[in-house]
Amino acid sequence: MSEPDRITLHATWRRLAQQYEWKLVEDEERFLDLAATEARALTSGKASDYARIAIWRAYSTLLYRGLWQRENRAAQEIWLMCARMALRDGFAPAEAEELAQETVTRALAKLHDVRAPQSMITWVLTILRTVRRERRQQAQHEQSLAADEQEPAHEPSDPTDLTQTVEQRVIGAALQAELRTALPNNLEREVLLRVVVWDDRPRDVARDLGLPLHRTRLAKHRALNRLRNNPAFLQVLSHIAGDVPPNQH
Amino acid sequence: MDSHALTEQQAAARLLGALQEQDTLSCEEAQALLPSFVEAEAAGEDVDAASEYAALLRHLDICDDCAAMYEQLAEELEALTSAPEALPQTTLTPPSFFTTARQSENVIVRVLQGLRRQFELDLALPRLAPQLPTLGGGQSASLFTDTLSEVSGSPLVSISLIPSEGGADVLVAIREPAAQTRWQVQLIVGDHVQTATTNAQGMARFSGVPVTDVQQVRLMCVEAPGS
Repeated sequence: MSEPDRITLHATWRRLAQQYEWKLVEDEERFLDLAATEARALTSGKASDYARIAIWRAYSTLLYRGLWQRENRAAQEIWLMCARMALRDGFAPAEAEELAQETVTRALAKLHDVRAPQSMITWVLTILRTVRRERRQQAQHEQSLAADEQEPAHEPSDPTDLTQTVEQRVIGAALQAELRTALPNNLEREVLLRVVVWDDRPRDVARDLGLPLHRTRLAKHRALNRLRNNPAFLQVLSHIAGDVPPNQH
Repeated sequence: MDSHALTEQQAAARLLGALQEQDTLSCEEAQALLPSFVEAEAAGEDVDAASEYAALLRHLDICDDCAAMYEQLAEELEALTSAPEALPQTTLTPPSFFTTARQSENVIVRVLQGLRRQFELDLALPRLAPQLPTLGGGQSASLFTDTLSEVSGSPLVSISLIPSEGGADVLVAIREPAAQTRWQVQLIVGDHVQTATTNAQGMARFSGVPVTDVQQVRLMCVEAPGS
């Protein structure tokens, strides 16, 4: 681990400031001090990751203060980001602007809910997501979660071999067979076994599988949900675990 | 413990344990934690070992809505902070959000840009606070009364402070000559936030407002949906 140096922070700041037209910073050195403080609060990971998140968090604090003080520029910068995100997601310009407007309005109304001013921009993204979802529901264009769940994308190139190896090393034949039936998705099965049974860190599993970390967590979430909704599997699992006699239920 | 040496029974017990985990967070609580969680994760923090996120991680294992929000936030954050061309660089002209309609020593009135009519008032309290003890018996002090001609529909707004035990009640009246609009009113006094909707008479009452140690109250008023 190494803390990002001033040059890295400065370069990252300039890149993000240009990208998002951030103009609230009056004293750049002081702002970089704030970003360096944010970076120091993070204790592991790569310096390049630190830098972009530290700048993001430091600037969030400025935006938060700006909104409290009713600075137009602060609200406008958030509006601009939201409108561009909506454009990127295929909304028509007028619709994108309305969506951004509604997001900023709700952010102002809920500003007192913000627990960490450093996370203000990311928090606004949660509001934007809600507003966008409501709009899509209105227009009946929302994609179903079920369709998303069946996405085969993001799996490793040869998940079957990997999963078989994991299963054979970890569990016996009975549990292996039950799991294969209950969880036909290899990725979900492997993630579940490694994280839950082996107690591997999700970050390590993600690295080994070449997946973003959040995809790994979601694979675990989906695997657990499928198994929770499968009473027959739960009964067999309880039996193998020794919790339930074989003839019970 | 060497996980590779687990018996089938132990492996099943672990799986069962994970499936029986109890969720101790509400979605609202989880979503309040999500922004800092995804930022810490994106920065490379070992969030799985951080006690402050243990309940959130359990919640994400169980809740579909929050898991979907987490997924989207994580992807957005990664894209927005890493990709130079994450968003289209279309030229857009943002609106002006806060128009100060009037400003005096004791009050600032702002008209806010939005899809619905909205305005807010910052009211200074320093001269009122010492008077509070003398206002016993429910006597009220007027903080503001005027017609806001700057707001479409020209609502008449009246705000009063009524001393009560342990603080004060704030009474807000918003009336329009030509309409019976309901308004959602948010009262912010320091860290204290209360929300109410005006009734058919245009009144909203906030009870037990801690006004003794503050110098300012903010009232945000937004036209209620369907009004």
